[in-house]
Amino acid sequence: MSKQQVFKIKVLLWDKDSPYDFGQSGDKGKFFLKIPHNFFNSVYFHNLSGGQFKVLLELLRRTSECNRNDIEIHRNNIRMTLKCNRTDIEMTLNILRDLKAIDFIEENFANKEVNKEINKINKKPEVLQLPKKKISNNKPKKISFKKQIEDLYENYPRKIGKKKGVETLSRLIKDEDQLKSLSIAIKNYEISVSGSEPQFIKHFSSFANCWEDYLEINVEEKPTEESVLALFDEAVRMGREMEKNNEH
Amino acid sequence: MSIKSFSPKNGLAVAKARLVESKKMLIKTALKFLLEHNGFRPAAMHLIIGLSGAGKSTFFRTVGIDYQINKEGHDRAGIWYSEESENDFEVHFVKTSMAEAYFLNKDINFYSEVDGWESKKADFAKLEKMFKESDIVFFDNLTTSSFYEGSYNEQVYFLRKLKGLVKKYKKPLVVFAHTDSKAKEGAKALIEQNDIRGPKTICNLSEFVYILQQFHVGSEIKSTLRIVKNRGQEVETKVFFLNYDKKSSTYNDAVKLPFSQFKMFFEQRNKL
Repeated sequence: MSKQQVFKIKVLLWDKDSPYDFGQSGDKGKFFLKIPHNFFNSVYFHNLSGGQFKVLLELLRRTSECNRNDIEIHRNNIRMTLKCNRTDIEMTLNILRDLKAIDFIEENFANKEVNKEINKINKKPEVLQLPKKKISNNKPKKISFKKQIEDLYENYPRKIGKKKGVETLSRLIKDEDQLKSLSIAIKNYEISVSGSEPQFIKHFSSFANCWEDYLEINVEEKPTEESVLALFDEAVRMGREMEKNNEH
Repeated sequence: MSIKSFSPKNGLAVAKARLVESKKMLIKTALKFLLEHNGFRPAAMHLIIGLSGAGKSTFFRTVGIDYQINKEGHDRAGIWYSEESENDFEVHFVKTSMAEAYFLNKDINFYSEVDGWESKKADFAKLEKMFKESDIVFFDNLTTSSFYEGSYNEQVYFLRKLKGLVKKYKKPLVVFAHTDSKAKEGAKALIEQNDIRGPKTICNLSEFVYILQQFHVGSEIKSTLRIVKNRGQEVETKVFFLNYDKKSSTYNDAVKLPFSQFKMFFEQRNKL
C-alpha cells in the first residue's frame, strides 16, 4: 500500500458562531478536515454529485464511528464499500480542498487549532463575544456629509429643492465613496440635460431620490447638426422601406 | 325636433353600412397622408394648424392641385380666401410648374374676403352657396377671417354654424388656421391642438386635425405633418415628412415616418 493511497483524516466540525462542536484532537493523522457546521446547509454541499455525496458521507461515518485519534482511510476501501469510482473519491477530496469553506489542515497545525477552539469554549466563553465587540468597534462612525453635499449642490443645473435634496442625500450618503459617486452623478446629469429648458430639469429634491440612475449613464456627446439630420434622413429611409414592403 | 327611436336591428345594419362606406375613398387623392384615412371625408371638418410660414399655403396648393387632378367628372372645389385675392392665388400657380395642370383642370368657386366682404350675414349666405355648389370647400384662413372678428362667443357661434353647413350639405370642409402666439418655430415642444389661435371649439368640432410643423436644423428645414385626430377612421401612420418641390411650389412627396425614429430625431434636435 503506497502512502499516496492512504488518507489519514480527522473530521473537525467547526462553526464560527456557536455551538462549537469538535471531534477529538488528532495527533497522528497526516491531514485534518475542518468543516464548518453550516457547510451542510451551503450551496457547496448541495452541489455535490451523487457519487461525491456518498464519498463524503462515508468519510464522515467512518470518522464518527471510530474512537481512535486518527483514521486511516484507504481509497480502495471506500471504493469497494460504496462501489463508486476512483474519480468520485478524488473529486470529493479536491472539492473539499478547493472550497474555501473547508480546509485541510496539517497535523501539527490542526492540533493547535483544535486546542485553541476548545480553550475558547471552556475557559473564556466571553471570548466568543469578542468578535462581536470588535465588529461594533469597527463600525464606521456616522459622519454627516451635509456640508459637502451643499457644495456639490452648487454644480447642480437647477437651483430648486436644495433643502429637501440635501436632507435626503445626507441620509443616503454614508461614506466618501458614495460622496464621490454623487459628484459623478451630478456631473453626468448636468451634461445630459445641458441645453434643455429648465422645466425639463429635475428639482434637486427629486434628483436626490434617483441620483444613482445617473452613475453609469452613458453620457452622450452633444449632438451635432449633422447627426440630427442623419437621424431624420434615417427616419425617411425607414419610412420609404416600410412603404416598399407594404407595396410588396 | 323629435328624438328618433332606435331599432337595434336597423341600427346594426346602418352601422355596418357606415363602416363599409368609411372605407371607400369618396374624394380621390394621390397624397399619402390622405390615403391613410381614405381621402377627405364627406360631411367632415378637416382642420390644418400651423405657424405662420410653416407651409400652410404650400400645403393648400398641394391638396388643391391634387383635388383638381384626381377629381372625378365635373367635381368643383370651393375656395374661401380670407387673406389674399383670387388674383394673388392664381399668380402663385403661374410661377410654378403646376400652372398648366391647375388651369387645365380649374373648376373652382372662388371667393375672397379681400375682394368683397359685405357683412357677416351676407357673407355667410355666400359661404352657404359655396357649400351648395361645390363638392369640397377649402377655407383659408379661419383665424384671419372676418367671420372670426368679435367676441369669443361670436367666434364659437360661427364655428357651430360652419359645422352645421358641413353636416347639412355633407361636403368635406378643409380649414386652415394659425397657432397662437405661444407656439414658436424654435420651441422644443411639438405643436398641439390646443395651440390654435382663438377658441379650441374648432378642434372639438373637427373630425380630422393635422399639425404642420417645420424643424430647422442648421440651414435645412424639415417639414412634417402629423395627424392628431382622426375620428371614425383608423390611421396607421401619424407622422409624415413633406418633401418640398421648388419647381411646383408644392409638396411632391409625403413619406411615412416611424414614430420612434422621429421621436429620437426630435429629442436630439432639442439638445442642439
